[in-house]
Amino acid sequence: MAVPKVKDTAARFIANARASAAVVTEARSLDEALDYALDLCLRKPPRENLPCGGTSSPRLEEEARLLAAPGLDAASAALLEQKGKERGVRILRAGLRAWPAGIDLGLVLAEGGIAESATCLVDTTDEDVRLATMICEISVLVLPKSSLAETPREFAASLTQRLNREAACLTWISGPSKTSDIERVLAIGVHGPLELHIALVSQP
Amino acid sequence: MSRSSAMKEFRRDLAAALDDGFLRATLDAFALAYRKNRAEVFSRLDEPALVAAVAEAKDAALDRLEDLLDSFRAQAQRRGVSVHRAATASEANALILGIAREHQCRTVIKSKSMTAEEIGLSAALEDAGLEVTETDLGEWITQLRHEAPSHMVLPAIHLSRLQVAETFALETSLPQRPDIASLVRVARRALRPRFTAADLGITGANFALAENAAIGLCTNEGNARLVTTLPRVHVALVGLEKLVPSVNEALDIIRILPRNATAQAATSYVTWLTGRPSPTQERHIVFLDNGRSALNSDPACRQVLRCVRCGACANVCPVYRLVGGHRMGHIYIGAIGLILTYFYHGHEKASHLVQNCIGCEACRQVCAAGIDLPAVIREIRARLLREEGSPPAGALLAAVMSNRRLFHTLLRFARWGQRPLTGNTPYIRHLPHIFLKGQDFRALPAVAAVPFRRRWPALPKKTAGRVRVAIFAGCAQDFIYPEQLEAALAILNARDCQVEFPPDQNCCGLPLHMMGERNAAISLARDNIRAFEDSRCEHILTLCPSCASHIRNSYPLLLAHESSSRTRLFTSRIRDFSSFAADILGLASALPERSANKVCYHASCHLCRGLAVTRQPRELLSRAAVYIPTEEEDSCCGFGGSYALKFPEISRQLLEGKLARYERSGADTLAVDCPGCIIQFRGGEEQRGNRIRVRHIAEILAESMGV
Repeated sequence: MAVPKVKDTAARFIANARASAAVVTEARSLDEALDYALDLCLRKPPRENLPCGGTSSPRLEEEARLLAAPGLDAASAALLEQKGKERGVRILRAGLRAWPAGIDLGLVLAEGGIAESATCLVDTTDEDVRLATMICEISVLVLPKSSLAETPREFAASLTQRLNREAACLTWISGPSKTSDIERVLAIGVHGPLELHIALVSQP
Repeated sequence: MSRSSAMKEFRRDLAAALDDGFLRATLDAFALAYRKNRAEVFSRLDEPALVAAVAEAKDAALDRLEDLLDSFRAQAQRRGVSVHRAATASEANALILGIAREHQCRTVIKSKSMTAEEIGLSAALEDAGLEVTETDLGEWITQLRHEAPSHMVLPAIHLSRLQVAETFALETSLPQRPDIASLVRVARRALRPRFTAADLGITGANFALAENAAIGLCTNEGNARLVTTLPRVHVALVGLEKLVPSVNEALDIIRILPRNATAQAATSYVTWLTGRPSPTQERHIVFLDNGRSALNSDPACRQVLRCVRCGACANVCPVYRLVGGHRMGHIYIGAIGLILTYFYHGHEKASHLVQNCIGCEACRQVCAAGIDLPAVIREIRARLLREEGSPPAGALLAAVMSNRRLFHTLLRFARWGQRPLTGNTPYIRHLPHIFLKGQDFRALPAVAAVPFRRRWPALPKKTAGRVRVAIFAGCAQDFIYPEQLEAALAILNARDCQVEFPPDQNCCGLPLHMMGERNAAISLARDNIRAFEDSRCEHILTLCPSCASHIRNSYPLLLAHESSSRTRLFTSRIRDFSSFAADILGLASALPERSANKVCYHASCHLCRGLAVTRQPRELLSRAAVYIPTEEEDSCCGFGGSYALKFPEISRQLLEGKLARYERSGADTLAVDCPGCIIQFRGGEEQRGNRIRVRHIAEILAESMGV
C-alpha cells in the first residue's frame, strides 16, 4: 500500500518539535512566514538590554523592534524591508555582532528537517546567520516542508559536501536554548533564544 | 596514605553523602525519571543495532587512530587551522597557555568539556593570570562555588536552587530569589558580557572527523556556539579517541548520545565546524593523549575508549544514586569514572574508588558504546592487587577456595563452629560485635546442618529420563540453602529428567573474580570444566544466576588462552532455573490451578542483565500464584557478594529501599532467583519482623506442583 510519506513525516516532525518546546506554524509561502515573524516581533515584550561590557552601542537604547534576517535572497529581503517599514520594525540584514545586548527576533532559512528529532538544519557559515540563531530572543526558522526526512542518515551526503569546503559552520537546531542544570528543572533560554518557532512552508 | 586509612576516609565520605537528604531525593527522582524517559525515547529505535554500530565504528577508528590523526591534521592545515598533539595533561595546559600568550589573550570563556576537567585546564590558565569563565550553567555554578562537577552531563545536580540563589547573590551582589527561571536569567545577564569581552574561547568536541577536519559539539544551552563564534581565538581540546573517519560515524553518535544522556531525541544544538571561524579569527585543535595511546594498545581495556561521555552509566548506577558523583569518580563520574581515574589520574586515586562497584551490570546494559564496564572494573581490581599485593583476607580466601577439599571441609567445620552463635536458628545471632560492624541491618544465615552434596546420595532421582540434566550447586545453595536444590530436584523428577551431580565441582569463582583474585578465579574455572567434562548431560542447571552468568560470560574471557571448545562445552550447557523451567521443561503450562498467594518478584542483577532472562520467571509466577508487579523490580538488592561487607552503609540503603517497596505491595511472598539476593532479603526481613516471606522461585513452583 502506498504511504503518503511526506504527510506522515511532517506530522511526526510537528509532534516531535512541539514535544521539544518549539512552536510550529504552517505557512503557505515565505511571504506568509515573514508576516508571522513580524507579528511575533510586535507582540513580544520589549527586548531586554543585556549588559555587554564595553561593546554596547548607543543604538541599543532605541525603542524600535529589531528583526534580524540575514541570508535572505535580495527579493525576499526587499519584501521584508518594505513590510518592516510599514509596521515599524527595524530590519537588520548584517552586522549582528554590533548588537550583543539583544535583538528581538532572528529569522533564517533552514535547509532541511529531521522528523525523528524535530531538527532543523541551518547553514550558519555566515556569522550573521549564526548570530541570528544565537543572540535573538526569538528565533524563527523557515523550513520547507519538502526538505523533511525521517532520520539524519538522509542528510549524510549533503553534510559531507558542505564540510568538505574550506570553512563551514553548520548548526542542527532541535528546540530553544535550554538547561536542566538546576534541580533538573527544564528552563528555557539560558544563553540563546528564549523561544524557537519553526515556520513549515509548503511552497518551495 | 595507607590503603586502609584511605578506605576509611572514603567510607566516611560515603556516610556523609548518605546523610544528605537533598542529594538523595534529587538523585532518586532523577533515576526514576531517566528510566521512564529513556525507555520512551528509545521506543522507536533499534537500540541494540545502534549500540553495535557505535561500538563497531569506534573500534575500527581505534585500530587506525594515528592514520586518522594524520588525515585530520592535513585537512585542517589546508584550511588554516593549527593542529597540536599533547602527550600529557601538563603538556596540553602549556600548549593552550602558549596559544593564549601568542595571541595576547587575557580573558577566556569555556564551554563544558570533560577533557578540560581531566587536565585541570581552567586552574592552569588562572594560575598563569588569565581570567577564565565557565559558561555552561552548571559548570559556572560549580566554578563560583569552587567545587568539582558531580555529573558529566548535569554538573551541579548535587545543589539546590537555594544554594544556587545564594551563590548568585554573592556573585552579583544582589539578592536573588530561589526561583529556577529567574536564576537562569541571572546567568544569561551575567555571562553575556563575558562572551562579548572574551579573547579566547575554549571548547571540547564530541567527535572529530578525519575526512574534513570538522569537529562536532552537542549542547543544549547554546553556549558552545557563542564560545566558538565571538572570541578572536578558538581552541578545541579533543581526546584522541574522539577521532572517527567521517560523517557516517558521527551521525550514529549524535543519535545515541542525547538519548542516553538525558533521554532527549536530540540536543538543542549540534554544531559542525571546519576551517577558521572567519579570516580574522584563529582556530586551534589540541588533541590530548594523556594515556589514551597506551590504553589503546591494552587489549583487555581498550574498549573504554569507545565511550561517548553520555554519563548513562552514572544515571543507572544504584551506588551513584545513593552517594552522587563526588564519591563515584574523581573527574569522570560513574562506572566509566572508576575506570578512567585508574588510567588518567593514577592508581592511587583509583584504588578505593574502583572497589565502589556493586557489580549489578546496570551500566553494561545501558552503555551507548556497548562497553563491558563491569568486566573492565574487575580487570582493574586484578591489576591493583598485582601492584599492591592481595590484602590478607583476599589472599587467604583465594588459597582456601582454590582447594576444593580444604574449602568444603572448612565449610563443614563451620557448621560445628557456628553452634554457639546460632541459638538453633537458621541465622548467626551472637557473632561478636567486631565481626558485625555495620552489618547488623540483616541477619547472616547459618551454614546448613547437612550440605546438598552430602544429601545427594540419599535423594530420590531418575537414572533415565527425557532430559539429561547435571546440577551445578553453587556454594550458597550447596552449603546454606540445600532445600532449594531439593525443591528443584523434585520438579526435575516430576518432569521426567535424568539428573546427576558431579561431585568434584567447586565454587564458580565469581567472589574471587570480583575481588580481583584473577588467578584463583582461573583455577576454579578449570576445576569446574574438568568436573563436568565426562558428563553426558544436555543441560547444566544452576539455581544461582550469579554462578550462571559468571560461567557463561566470564569463563571464556578468563580462559581465553585455553581450549575454547572445552570451555564452550561447559559454558554452552549452563542454564538458570527460570528459563530452564519455562523453556525446556514447559512448566508454565504444566502447573495446576494457581494459588491465592500474592507474590512479588525481585529480578536479580545476574539473571535479568547478566543472562537477559526477564520473561520466564514472571510467566511462571503468574501461573503459580497472584503475581503483583512492583516498581524497580530489577534494581540491585545491595548484596553484591563481598561488596556488602566492604560498604555495609550502601548495602543497607539499597536493601531497605527494596524491602519497603515490596512490603507496601501487599504481597505475602517475595520470589527471588538468586541465593545471594535471598541471603540479603531474608536477613533484612528477619531484622524487620518478617513481614514478607522470601523464597527461591523453585520452592514456590515445587509447592505449587505439590512435589
